[in-house]
Amino acid sequence: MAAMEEYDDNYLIVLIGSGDEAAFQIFFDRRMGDVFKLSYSLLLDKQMAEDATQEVFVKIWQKAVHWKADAAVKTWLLTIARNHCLDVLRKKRNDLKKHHSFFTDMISLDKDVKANSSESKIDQEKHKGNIKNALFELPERQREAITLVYYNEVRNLEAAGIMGLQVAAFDSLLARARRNLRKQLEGEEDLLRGYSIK
Amino acid sequence: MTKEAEEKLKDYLALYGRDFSRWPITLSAAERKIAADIPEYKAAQDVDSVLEETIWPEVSSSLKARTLEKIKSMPQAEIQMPAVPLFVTMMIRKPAYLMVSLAMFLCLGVVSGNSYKISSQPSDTAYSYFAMGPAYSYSVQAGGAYGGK
Repeated sequence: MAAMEEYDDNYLIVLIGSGDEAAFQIFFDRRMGDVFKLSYSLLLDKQMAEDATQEVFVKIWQKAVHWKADAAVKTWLLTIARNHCLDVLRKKRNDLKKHHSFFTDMISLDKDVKANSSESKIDQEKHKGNIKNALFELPERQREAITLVYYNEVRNLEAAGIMGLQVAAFDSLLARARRNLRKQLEGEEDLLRGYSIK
Repeated sequence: MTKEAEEKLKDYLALYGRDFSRWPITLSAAERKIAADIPEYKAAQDVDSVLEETIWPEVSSSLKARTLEKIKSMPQAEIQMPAVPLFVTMMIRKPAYLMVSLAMFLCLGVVSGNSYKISSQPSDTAYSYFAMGPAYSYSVQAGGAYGGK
């Protein structure tokens, strides 16, 4: 008999649906990274992304029995994760609206920090670091598209389905995201060149 | 290489990057080789490098334990079976009902078959799908399927 680690996702989900905790653990180990990355790319907060990952897997535990074999497990899992994160974001935005004045203060503070940061030598290192995290500077939907395709390794067709878009619209979103990354990269290069002249 | 073909390769580079495994499989090896020589390939390579070097936060080691702890207190959803009609339930529970139902269906079949045979004329069967010859001759006699004179 094959070890449970070798079972494919479909079989593991069927086992999870029957209440098999060992299958759940294997599925968690296998897919936790995918869910965490998608959650983090949407929420941009480690703690919130971990909480979202936990909630998503609890939902999987509860809903595994409703999984239909006509949908790929990974697509189903990522759709649940995305919907959960969007719910979290919606709640967060509503809370922020309630505390509008606090929020505007934070934005002005953030702008001050960014304005000051571009002038110090220490920040040169920070900008170098930023190149590596340019993904997280992208708008939400572009981040999501890149994460699905490059980190979750989902095909464009499936990723479009997860985001509820037509494939052509998804392709254009992805191309726009890559273009923005390129622009950021050029901006960083110009900035670093400026430092080296000084 | 035509201008259109080059534009297509540029679009693919902008969309899929330098990793040809993501590209449409319809693209030939020669086209991929040409794509690698386009100046846009370097730009795509830079973007891919940024994506490869992205630093993701480390996931807490306690996350798995926390999740496993939580699911222990969570009941799983139950499968909702579709509602079964009462007469089906009765047939399954009592074989006598099943036998009576089968006998009734049999009788109904015999009666309806006989009534069709009595009421139908020989000409009805002549033009059925199973009798190609008469149907063809009928259409010829009547002036064809398109209503000729």
